[in-house]
Amino acid sequence: MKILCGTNFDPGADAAARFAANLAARTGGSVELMHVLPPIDPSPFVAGSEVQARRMAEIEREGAARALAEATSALRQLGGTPVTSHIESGPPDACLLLRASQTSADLVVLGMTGRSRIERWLLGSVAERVVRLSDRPVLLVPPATGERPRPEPLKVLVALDERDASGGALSFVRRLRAHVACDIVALRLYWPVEEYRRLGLTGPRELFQSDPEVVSDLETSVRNRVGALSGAGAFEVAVEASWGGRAATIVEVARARHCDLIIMGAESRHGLARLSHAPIADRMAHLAPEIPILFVPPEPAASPKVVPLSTVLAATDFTEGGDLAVRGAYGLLAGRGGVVELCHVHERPLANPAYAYDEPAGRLSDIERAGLEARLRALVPGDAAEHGIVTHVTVVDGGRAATALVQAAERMRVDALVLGGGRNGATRHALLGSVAQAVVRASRRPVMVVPSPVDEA
Amino acid sequence: MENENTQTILLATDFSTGSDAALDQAIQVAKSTGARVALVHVIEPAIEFPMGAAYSDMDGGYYASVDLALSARASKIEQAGPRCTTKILEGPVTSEITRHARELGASMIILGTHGRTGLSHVLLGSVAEKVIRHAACPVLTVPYARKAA
Repeated sequence: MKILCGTNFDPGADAAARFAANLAARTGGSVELMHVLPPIDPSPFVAGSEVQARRMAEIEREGAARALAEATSALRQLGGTPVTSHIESGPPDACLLLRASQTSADLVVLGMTGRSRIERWLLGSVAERVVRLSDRPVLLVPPATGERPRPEPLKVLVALDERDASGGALSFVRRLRAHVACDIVALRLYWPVEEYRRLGLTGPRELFQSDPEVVSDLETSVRNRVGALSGAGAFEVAVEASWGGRAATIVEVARARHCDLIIMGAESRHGLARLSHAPIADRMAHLAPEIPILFVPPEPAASPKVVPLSTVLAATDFTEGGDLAVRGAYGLLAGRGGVVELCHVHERPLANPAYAYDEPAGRLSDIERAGLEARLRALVPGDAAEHGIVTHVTVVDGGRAATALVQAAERMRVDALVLGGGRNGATRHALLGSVAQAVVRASRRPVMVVPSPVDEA
Repeated sequence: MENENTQTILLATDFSTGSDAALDQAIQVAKSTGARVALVHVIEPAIEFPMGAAYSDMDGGYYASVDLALSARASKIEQAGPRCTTKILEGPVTSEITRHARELGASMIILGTHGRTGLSHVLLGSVAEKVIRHAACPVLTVPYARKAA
């Protein structure tokens, strides 16, 4: 791994340089140590100021060059990795980023300065700007890092979210693990309200602790997304409920699991969005003054992997159109087999919010439920088993049909939904809308709508 | 070569990322059912303003570029296995898609959706939703997933 390490000769910067050298040695790479001098800034009001400024700059440059040489040889003495040095003058963040792209560095490493909050607010932070603007991964090393021993394997926490922004973090972990043995904890934070709505989990639910159904669903998602990891080391998934304070929760989990490194997606927000979402880099560094944090910029979204449809949710309301859709679902899987989740929604209003209260009025009795399930089973074509199609029967009790179906599809993780509908007359459509359209709008899975045989009025 | 019983899947594309996700899905469905794919793009007629047409690049150059984009996708489909034909249609998107599907006797229409919600949904509507209302055959909509797991 080719590493560019910025230094200002602070103790913090030295810790960063040592961490960079260690990482480069383990991954068989190299380190370039870089110092950026302030630009020559003559005062326009003093005669001969430019000459003065140049002389000052020269003296400064000599001093910096000496310090850089010392720092470089100190790193070389640690051994294990080739170290080069580079000095430049200009705005530090821009110079660092330019150099990183010129040398096609894989990673930029910076030390966190020990500045207080107010100083940071006034002066801004080079690290913060580099994280925000960089198109390659940036590692921020806090001053306290160097003192701790780093045993093999490296313990790494990857913070994932639902957005593609963390895709870059995952591929960095893959690259890292190809070289270094890493124990990886993939942390997925979720907002309970959102997940309860997505999965349609009702009744009084846990609001501050992790909910077992959400955890198992998200854990499956994370494992599918991470896939097989090459290299040595353990892999585990942690799913935690989080109310807002993402940074605090990530640091808390990293501490509890004694992680040596946090890897997360960099949020490249600009303009107004930065005001509403205070930069997380600063907060993280403030919260975790002993754990290095690696920010990986989002990757261009890879086209989603398309799998052949093998699990299909078929919904029916027992009308002619609904039953036609069920036949359509079996037709879709005919010849190669699969699973059909036959589903009927017993529509009734639920409490609001449904994850906080239970609404027992109108609930299906066991006998009613069994009756509906039998009606569903009667729809299974006789030759389904011959085609290798397995059928599961589900009756969803409560909610509106469209929402309940989309939620059921999320819970069952089906590849597609199949339902009847479509060709409603214009008047009926205007008055009632259509379940099919609402499902198409709300679902993030493919939906097949089978036209109902009603007239085209 | 052309079998009487070969089914046809109509795949409509607007060359967006969402459409390309639908294209991958169409390949999978066509492969498993042995169907051939009819790939179409609909050009909506320019809105006529009193002072002349709204845009005037509807000449050969525009058609050529649409044709090129269609062929690129068609060859991607054929490389994966299914046979594929392309056609450029002109007219209102929804009715052209459903009309062409009827003409071909298509067994399925596959469309990508952009997943617009809220205001942009109200303003721009959804071609997929309109096609669902008018099509005589099953319609498979493939959402463009902006969110990962």
